[in-house]
Amino acid sequence: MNDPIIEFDRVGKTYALALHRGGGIKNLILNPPRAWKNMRAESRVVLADFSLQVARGESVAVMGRNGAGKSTLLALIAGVIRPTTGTLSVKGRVSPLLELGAGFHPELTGRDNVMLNGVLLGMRRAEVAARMDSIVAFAELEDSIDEPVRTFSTGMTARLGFSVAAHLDPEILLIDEVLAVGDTAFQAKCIGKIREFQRRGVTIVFVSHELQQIREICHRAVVVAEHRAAFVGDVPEAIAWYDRAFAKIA
Amino acid sequence: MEAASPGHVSPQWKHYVDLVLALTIKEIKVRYKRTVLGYGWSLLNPMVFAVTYWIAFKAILNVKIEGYFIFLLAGLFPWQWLNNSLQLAPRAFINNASLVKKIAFPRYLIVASSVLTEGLHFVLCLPVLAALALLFGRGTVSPAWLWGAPILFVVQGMMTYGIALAVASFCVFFRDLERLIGLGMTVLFFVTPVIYERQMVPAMFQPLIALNPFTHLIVAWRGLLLDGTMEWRALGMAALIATAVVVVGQFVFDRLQWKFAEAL
Repeated sequence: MNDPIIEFDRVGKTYALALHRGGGIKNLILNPPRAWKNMRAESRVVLADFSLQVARGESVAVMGRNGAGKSTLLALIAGVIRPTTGTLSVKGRVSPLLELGAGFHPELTGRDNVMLNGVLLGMRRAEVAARMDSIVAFAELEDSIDEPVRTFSTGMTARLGFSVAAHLDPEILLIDEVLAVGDTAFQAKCIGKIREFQRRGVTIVFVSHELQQIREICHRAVVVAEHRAAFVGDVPEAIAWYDRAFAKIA
Repeated sequence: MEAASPGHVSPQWKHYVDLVLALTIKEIKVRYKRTVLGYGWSLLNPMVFAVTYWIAFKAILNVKIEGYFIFLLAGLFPWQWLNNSLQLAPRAFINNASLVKKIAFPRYLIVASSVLTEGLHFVLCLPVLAALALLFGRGTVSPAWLWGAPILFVVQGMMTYGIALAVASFCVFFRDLERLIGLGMTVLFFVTPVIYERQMVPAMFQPLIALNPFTHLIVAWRGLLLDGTMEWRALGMAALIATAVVVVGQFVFDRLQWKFAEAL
């Protein structure tokens, strides 16, 4: 594959569990060597020796059981965390969005949150303002956009979050199980928007458990299992592989 | 890997300005939701303390400082900016966990906007101080404010930001720090010449009080606000410390920020 836009080369990611465990400063002051050792010792391997190449304009599904490391994968691409070992190269503007409406503040109005979220996701204030009406219209929230977001239902919040993301101009779009929310009509609208991104040549990494959506959207799929890319290939083959591998457990 | 660092979203500084603006507006809007007094609180707080200290130290202990009420305010307003910023710092990243975990953007701007928000409140207190100074006939509203205040604002902003950034970063991993800061700020308040003059400190403690970075700030502010003069020595010391503190704060942040998303 020449010029992949995303390239994982034997990436490993280990979480140090003790980082947020008790002890705190007391331990660190009273017994620094042990506190340090604890921090180093207790860790959990999420990815090890993970390799994957994604071509520009491609849509790749990420499959795997709960806790397999799918979200870690997206967080790595987004640049929120760094690999512990190996190298990762991402050559494009990532829509750094792992959860729709991440960072929405419940006390602020929908409109205020759109502005804040839009700027956090990389737009200029003027750009958000110019697209405000379109964002609100896409989310179909004209009536409640000036209410605090805490009064919104989960579906409404997700719609607004997706609408902000849909108005970004990314080269790489990360989607993490977000289409599970919202009613069928809105889901269809989201799929339509994703198709539009695809036509514009946007690379998409799509995490989902919805096989139907994966079939509809993605060109290829990667199954994350045992800390690595256990299977990479066509969507139907990946689904078959996944079924075979986990049928006995499911 | 460079492309995936949190700064990559929009490298131009203009977007950073927008980010600070958006975060600051959010801070202010959230803070004043469901409050009646709003910004009035940042006036009321130091005023109540000033009255309390005036009663304790002037009316009862008869401290020998003229115009003690205005003297107190001139120290308490900048102190409040410092104190509020540093008290908020431990939770800066923790309270914004969903942003830190889910969106890649320059996270130090969260701390910058929090310090700036408090700074804006401080600036809004200055006209009140000027009015009271005129009313009580203590201190001068001097043209030196026009150039002196912005300089001191930048120096205090830098010093506060540097400390707050280091505190906020450490606090993601060691929550105890929050308690320590609360305690530390109370102690610091009394070993900083806010409610007394620096000259009143016994000679043997003078070197100690000079080590306190906030001493120079408060001394410089009071010189400017009460006498319309710039204490160049104090300003120089404060600026020097502020620069060092920003470098250290940014270093600590750079080392720790990659662990934020997994520790929060």
